[in-house]
Amino acid sequence: MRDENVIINEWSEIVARSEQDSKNAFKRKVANGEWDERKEIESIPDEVLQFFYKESWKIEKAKMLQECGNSYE
Amino acid sequence: MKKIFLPKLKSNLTKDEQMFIGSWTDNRYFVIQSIIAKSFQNLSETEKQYSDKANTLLNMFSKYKSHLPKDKPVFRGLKFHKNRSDEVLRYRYIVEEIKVAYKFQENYIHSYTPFSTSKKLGVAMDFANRQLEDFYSVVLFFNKRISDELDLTQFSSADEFEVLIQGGLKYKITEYANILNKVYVTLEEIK
Repeated sequence: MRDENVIINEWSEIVARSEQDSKNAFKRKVANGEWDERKEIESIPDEVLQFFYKESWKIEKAKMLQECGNSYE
Repeated sequence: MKKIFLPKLKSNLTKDEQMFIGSWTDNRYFVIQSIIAKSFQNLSETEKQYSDKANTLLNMFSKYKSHLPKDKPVFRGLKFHKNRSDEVLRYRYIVEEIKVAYKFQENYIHSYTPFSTSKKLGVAMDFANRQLEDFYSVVLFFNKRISDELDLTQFSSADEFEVLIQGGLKYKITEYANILNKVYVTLEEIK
């Protein structure tokens, strides 16, 4: 029986195709040496970081810059 | 079945799992998602070739535990071309879903199929095409997760730091905002 509280975000061909396109574009960017994670992080607006990380946004930004190219595991 | 940690070496995966990850990261994301969405019915000839790989993916979620700390967020970036009416409609639908789920907290977002996220906010921002004015963008921040995910960082290509989230999970919208004409959302998985 369907759960009435579910707002179904059913699989969408449009979203999946768009994601495939983003993946391909990203791979091309990396292969061509155009991907610069540090530059990408530095260009994220402060308002966005504040929204995601609240008062610790500066610390999180510093961590992200430190972890550029590395996994945090 | 008792779960084991996802091996960090590709060679420690089964041959099928290695092949699946190869297909997933090598331009077959869309096809494998299609197969799962259609529940293995009405598949095209191309899709039939990948149905085994889709099964492999679903089995991996029940076989492996994740090394990923649950308090570390993962991110998903989506883009929708403003000149394509189908993409604009989908974007509006998703934004409405987000607003309703936020307003009525007893409602939640449900992902029907597994989907790709990244450990890196920068990657999600790139996927959302933040710097191009021709697109609407949504960036999702999964900051509390309960279920096991598949961390493909060691296996997938191109610095994507990819983490696959399994389908069928439920998410509460904890916050959303429109910042500089892009939509940003925080979500928490709920039981």
